[in-house]
Amino acid sequence: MSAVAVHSWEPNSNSGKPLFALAEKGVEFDHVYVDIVKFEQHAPDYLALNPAGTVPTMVHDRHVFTESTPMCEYIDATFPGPKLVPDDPGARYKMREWGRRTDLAAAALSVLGWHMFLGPMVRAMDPAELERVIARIPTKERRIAWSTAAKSTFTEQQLADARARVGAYVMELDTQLARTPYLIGQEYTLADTVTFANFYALPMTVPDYANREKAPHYMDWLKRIYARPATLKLFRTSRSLGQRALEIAAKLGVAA
Amino acid sequence: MIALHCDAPTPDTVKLIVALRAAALGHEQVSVDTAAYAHWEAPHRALAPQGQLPVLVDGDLAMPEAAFALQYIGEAYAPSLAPKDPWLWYEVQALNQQIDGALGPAVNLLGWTRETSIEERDAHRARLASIPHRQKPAGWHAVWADAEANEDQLANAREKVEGGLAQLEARLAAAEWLVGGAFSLADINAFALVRAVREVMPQSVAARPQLAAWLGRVEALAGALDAVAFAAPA
Repeated sequence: MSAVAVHSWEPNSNSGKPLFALAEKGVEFDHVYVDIVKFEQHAPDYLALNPAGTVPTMVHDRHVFTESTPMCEYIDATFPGPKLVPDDPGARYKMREWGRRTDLAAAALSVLGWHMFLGPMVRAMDPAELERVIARIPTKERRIAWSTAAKSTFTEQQLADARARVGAYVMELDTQLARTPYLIGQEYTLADTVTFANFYALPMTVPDYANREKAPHYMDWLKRIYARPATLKLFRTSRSLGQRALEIAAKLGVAA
Repeated sequence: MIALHCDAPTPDTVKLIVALRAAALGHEQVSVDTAAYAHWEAPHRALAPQGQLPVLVDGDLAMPEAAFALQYIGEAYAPSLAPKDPWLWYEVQALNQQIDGALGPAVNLLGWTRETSIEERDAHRARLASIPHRQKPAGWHAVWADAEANEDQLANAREKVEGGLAQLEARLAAAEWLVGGAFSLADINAFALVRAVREVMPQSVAARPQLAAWLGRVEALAGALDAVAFAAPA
């Protein structure tokens, strides 16, 4: 079996999906760190590998993978280790549907993430440098989005809408997790991988929604996944966001 | 019996019908009156909480996400359309996601802007705003999704379509079918979308010889043309 390389940022959002999946399977891999806070995903070397300039990119067996959720299905089908994708087609449908719901809700979460973390960092950059890194973003749509976001802040209404959207999704997750310990049933699947990678920090980001009173089943699920050896191993070795994640794990009662 | 709840022959509806035909699966078609907003009424929302269309129903499993309903048809009933090789299956899933992203919303925006008046669009938005428990568009899209598209956004939509078509043309220059040398769910998915592009940007399809020839090949396959006719409103 040839080596696996994952070019990505932190175990967070899309960047985190293949990292969690590989860790769950127990596959050794090279993590080539791409610092998105420094816009390294738009540097010429990276664009030569992935012209869309998105993270993550995985390379295995001469193949280049750029779509984060399908690459996790490849990981499951290719490597030995615990099964993360069910055999039954109906269960697969449900797994993929939860992944899609999570990705849609994560778009709202990205507004909050931008507001709290990335926006202030980007606005602190030298304006000429900011203009240079935005100019090399390969698609017009993303150039406009980054340029707009870099120069302006969200309105209170937009932030409140984003919080409400994320909060409503926490309630959806909680309703499902009251029925089953994992998102599509008794076993951990990629639906949990994708959802955890996006929503592991909600007790910190939207504490008004992600708390034991309002969403006890979501909080129990979060604790179960934090306690998985693969999760702890990844956060312990992460450069910048791991510490924050381990603090959340400790508050949930997971020995980090 | 499999049922397909749908209205007009949108790309999502066409792709599911073509796949059902290619899998030789009979199905019942349930018409949903979207002009009367029936997709936002309780019976339909029991299957599709956010009013999605089409919805594929197999036994007690309702599938309102067309991209994954398509994969379900392949995996459950038509293995020849869903490659077993993990790399080829990744290619099918990734290409479908990219083509859906490049062509789907852009074709909707261009078609919707061309075929409706500002007054009709305003009335539609007002009607949507009154629907209980409807999720608003999230993230970056929320900034402009509830307002009229401006010229920049329309130009951006056309650019995305050109990018998606160029990606397909490049693949078809190297092979007869989009993934793995055989007709698959990737061809069915792209076929349904390129047909819709042909309505709003016909010259962009005609100007690409590989794409035009491939469209002919897909249409010639048993099922595809029948499916399109079947999906057309009476």
